[in-house]
Amino acid sequence: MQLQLRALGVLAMWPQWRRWQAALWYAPHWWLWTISGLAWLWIGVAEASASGLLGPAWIDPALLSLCRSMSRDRSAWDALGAPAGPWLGAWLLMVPAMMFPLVTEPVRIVAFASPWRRRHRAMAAFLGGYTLVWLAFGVVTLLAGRVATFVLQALALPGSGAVADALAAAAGFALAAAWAWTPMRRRALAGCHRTRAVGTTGWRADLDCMHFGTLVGWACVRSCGAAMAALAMAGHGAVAMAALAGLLGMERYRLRRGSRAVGYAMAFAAAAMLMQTGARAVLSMA
Amino acid sequence: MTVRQRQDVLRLATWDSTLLWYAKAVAAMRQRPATDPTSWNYQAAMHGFNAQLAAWQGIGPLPPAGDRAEYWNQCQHGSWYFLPWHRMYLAYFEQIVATAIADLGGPADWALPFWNYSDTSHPDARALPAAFAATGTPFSPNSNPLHMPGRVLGSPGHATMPARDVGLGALAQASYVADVHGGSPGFGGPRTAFSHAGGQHGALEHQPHDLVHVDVAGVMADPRTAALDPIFWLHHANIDRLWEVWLRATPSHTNPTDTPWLNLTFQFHAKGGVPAALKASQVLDTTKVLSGYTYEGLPSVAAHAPAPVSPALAAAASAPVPMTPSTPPELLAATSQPQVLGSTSHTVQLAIEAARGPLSARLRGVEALAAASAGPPPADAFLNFENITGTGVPPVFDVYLNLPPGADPAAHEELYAGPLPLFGVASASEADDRHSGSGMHYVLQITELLDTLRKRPDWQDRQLQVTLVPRSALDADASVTVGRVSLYAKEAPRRR
Repeated sequence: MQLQLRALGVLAMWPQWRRWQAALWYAPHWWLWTISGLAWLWIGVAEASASGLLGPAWIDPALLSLCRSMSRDRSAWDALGAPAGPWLGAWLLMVPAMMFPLVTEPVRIVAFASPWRRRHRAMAAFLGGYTLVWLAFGVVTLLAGRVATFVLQALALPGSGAVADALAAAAGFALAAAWAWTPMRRRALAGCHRTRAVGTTGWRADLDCMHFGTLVGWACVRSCGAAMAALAMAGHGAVAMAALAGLLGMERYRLRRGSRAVGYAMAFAAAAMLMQTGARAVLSMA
Repeated sequence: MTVRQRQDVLRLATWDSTLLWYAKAVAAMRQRPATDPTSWNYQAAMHGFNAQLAAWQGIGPLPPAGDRAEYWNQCQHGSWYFLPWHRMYLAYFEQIVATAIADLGGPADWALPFWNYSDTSHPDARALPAAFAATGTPFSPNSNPLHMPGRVLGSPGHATMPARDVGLGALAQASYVADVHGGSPGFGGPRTAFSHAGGQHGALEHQPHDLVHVDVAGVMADPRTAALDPIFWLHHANIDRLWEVWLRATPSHTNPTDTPWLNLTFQFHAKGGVPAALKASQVLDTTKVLSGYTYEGLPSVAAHAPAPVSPALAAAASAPVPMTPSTPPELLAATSQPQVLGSTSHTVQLAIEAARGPLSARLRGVEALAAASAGPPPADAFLNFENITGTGVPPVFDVYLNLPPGADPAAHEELYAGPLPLFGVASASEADDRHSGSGMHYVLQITELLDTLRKRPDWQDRQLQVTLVPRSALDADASVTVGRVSLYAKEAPRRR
């Protein structure tokens, strides 16, 4: 105890401590970014383990197995045909990694709109509601993907495994591009900036914060969900995820209203997938 | 091209050539189709447009949907972009009007005048300038392009705006950018992205900007129609001028240096309808905005000199001061239910809690908002009205603190905290591609008033009554709901 108090005293005298302390006061959402960082770390480990860069010598075998099962770097059909648990686990990992940084502002608002003693609880309730919406969307995406798998494989395209893989990915990105240009998406983007009055005590305040999270989550799903679903169905890995996350962040915080950057990016991805479809079809016939 | 000088309309004769040519230009621009970017309707729609509103009926064919999405409904409100965007908007408008005037044979150096309604030395400052109230002009005795039906200001019983509505308390704001949620609104407004939520209004936007809009009324009372009124442009010229006044008041008043504020690009049309774009970094010096302009009577930057101080004070000021970061605003009280406002006064009770965060540690046991026997208050207090939603054009609500039950508010000016103009509440409440539908957010700094209340014998610690008094009855289609009334406290800067 004496040592702890002495340590606190030393900290208080550290010239920079007050600045760090103030930064924490004004950034109560620091742990949001920490969780996001940890999620990216997990994704990176999963990628490295699936590609063989990380083996049992580097990481616990049980953890390695779990990481590999949640790796996104696999074909869409393999992914969608896999047990739902790991797929949804990977999907939920995507939420803190890619989406939590995008909700920094409403999380911060809910913190400052709550009494000091419960600001972290308020943020947690918000994120709980927010994540719940994305989980529901993940379930819908998984089901839609399995239906798409069935339909495309039933068409018995030549070299159907690889070709249908690329075709499904192209279709997903094309849909995302089309959605990006709709007025509904623009409305959803505005909705991502909404606020809500929240209570200050008890479970009612928790529910208010959770409801706030679901409102923002629903707006986020409508604005970013199509692109996320396309990425998931394409089975692309961390690099593509990071690129999309960066693009969505730019759109949220830097680009002017009405920017078509996301639409163009999705269209480009669809075109790339179509070219891949064609190449695989040619190769399979050769 | 010489730099234009924007003149005070109060110092111009009723039909000075500046106003005469403005009227002619307005008439000419109104003749142009709404598809023409240099038309009156197109320019007004860039601020706000809603085809359902009566003011926009019958304007003829509209520009393509893509152009409307790109250029119309662009006004930045409840945002730190409020001031720079309106500066750009006015600059291009002035250029287009000046071109129209030159085409009509008028002077090439026409400049938009400003309406200094806060000028206490002018007896008619708060009345509508005569040229805008007249029903005829020297060139058309039976019609006046500057006259707009529906205005309340200038109608019987509304000769002038209330003096307190055009007060310049905003000029005392120390910072351009608002504090985090709950604290100071800042001079220019909160940090936002382009897709702003239409949320908290900065101090200057709150007062006098919003209040002048609703006091003039008519199309001015709604941001979706306001720019249709020729007086809109003189009003915003004054708001733009007050930005300069604030910057020149003291060297500590500075614009943001954040890249997002400086570099976000906004789209307009220049003379001839040519697409153009500007960003805030390009409009910081008015003499370099397009052909450049200045304001009549504005003190020059070099004219500002520090006030003389005593040697002891100068020595103290030059001594090294440890940097102690300020505590963030802390929520101390809030209502638990939305408050639906009607045509009669509405009172809410706030139970004030003790501060628990860093503010408590800073105050070292002194209650943030408790009675203080002597000295300045230990904390600044901010009364927030959050997520105000509504329909129609509701009246202004005046806020009083600890008003005795049944008392006439007019007899208790000492308890007056400030106004809620509610300018744009309807559009802020609608979720569309420009608004989140979260409503509006106003902040009243009540430090001084609370300090006065604390010294009264009837002050009750930890209890604050907030009474909202409408200036008139709500119209049948108007409604107002305040999502939350809350009280925040923040360590006062004078303590650090």
